[in-house]
Amino acid sequence: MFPIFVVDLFSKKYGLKSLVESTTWDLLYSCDCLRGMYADVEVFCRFLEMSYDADELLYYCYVRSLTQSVLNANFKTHWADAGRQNNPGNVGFDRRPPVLALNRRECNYIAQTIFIRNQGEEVESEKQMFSDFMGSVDGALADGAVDSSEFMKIAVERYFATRPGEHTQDAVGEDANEYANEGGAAPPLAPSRSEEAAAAAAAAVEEGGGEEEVAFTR
Amino acid sequence: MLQPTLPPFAHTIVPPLGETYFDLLIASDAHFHRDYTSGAVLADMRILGPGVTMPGASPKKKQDGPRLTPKEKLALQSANAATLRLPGALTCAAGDVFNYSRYNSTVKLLSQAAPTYAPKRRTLAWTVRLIQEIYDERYKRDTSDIGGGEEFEEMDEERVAAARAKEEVSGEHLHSREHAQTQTHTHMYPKHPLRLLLTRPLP
Repeated sequence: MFPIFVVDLFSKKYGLKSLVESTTWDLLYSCDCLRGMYADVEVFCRFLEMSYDADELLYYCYVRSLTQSVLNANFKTHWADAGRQNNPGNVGFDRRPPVLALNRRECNYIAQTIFIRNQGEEVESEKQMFSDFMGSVDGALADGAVDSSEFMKIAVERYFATRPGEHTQDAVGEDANEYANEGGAAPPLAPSRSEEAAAAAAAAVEEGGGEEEVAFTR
Repeated sequence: MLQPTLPPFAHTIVPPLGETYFDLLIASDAHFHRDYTSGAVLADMRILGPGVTMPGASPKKKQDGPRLTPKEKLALQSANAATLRLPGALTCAAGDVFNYSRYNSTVKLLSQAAPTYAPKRRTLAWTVRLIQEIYDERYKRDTSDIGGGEEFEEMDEERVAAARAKEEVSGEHLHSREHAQTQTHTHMYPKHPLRLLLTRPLP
């Protein structure tokens, strides 16, 4: 359970019970204040409140590790010096280092690493997964780039939304019926592979080329 | 700021200079007291020449309040937080109400059943840095569980050299970040939900 891991980590790091408690409370409160504004804080809050489980956590950490490799950066070190941005407005509580952005080529590379193995008879389904994911990323691109934290958020959201079981469309449909019976508004459907994205993916597969070959260098 | 009303003596003793004199006393932070035998209001003051300091006076260190030990500070914060006790909510250092009910799984792990600490809003950089540290530690643990190895940065030359030496002896792979990623990928790929969704038969 992720909260246990966090409190254990603080216990090892700080030792004193009072320090562990105060740090945990400060972290909870600060995250709660910031969660709507910053993608990485939002995702962390979802792990803390157990909306996402250990599978999503491992997947998120994996994508995060790939992103760090591609950007040749360490996020912890990057955030250790929040005052580097040469901007007079970059002061106070929300002071932050420059945004680490991924361009489409880099997103493409990470997505290929995650989805494409080019083995066996699953090449087509791999390509479909890949183009489906890139469809979501394309929606978030601004000026040809996306904030790395936003990219990782999209990845874990897609992972969560497509998990078979309680989060699939059937289960959400049941929830919607319950809401309707109670006279409330139906909850939003979990994002799933849209028909348009599926059609685009199928077209890409039919063309045979799929996505562009990426010879990645940075 | 509320100005004290001009006392009667200021008009009666020296009518034209009374107000100026009174202002001087106020500005000098003079302490007024009443002589109960005569009923007069008195103020004590000492006029010193330029550059002359009061004997025995030492420069005072600026201090906003009484100096508290960390334990006393926590006790004071607890007392402040005690102003509001709602289930699932508590007052923060800034006076806001923090509804922590959605983080109950974390709060339950803290020893105190009823929280008394008033949480502080930390900076964005502090918060995200701590989050990143938690992810680093978690990923290190998970990859260690999956691959029986340990992730570390390639920049850590000593550990890379040690791992290479071990690799030469035992023929094992280098346990670098790339290795950890490969292990995770191999572990996760077969159960990726998108893959399951695409390969399972349609109803």
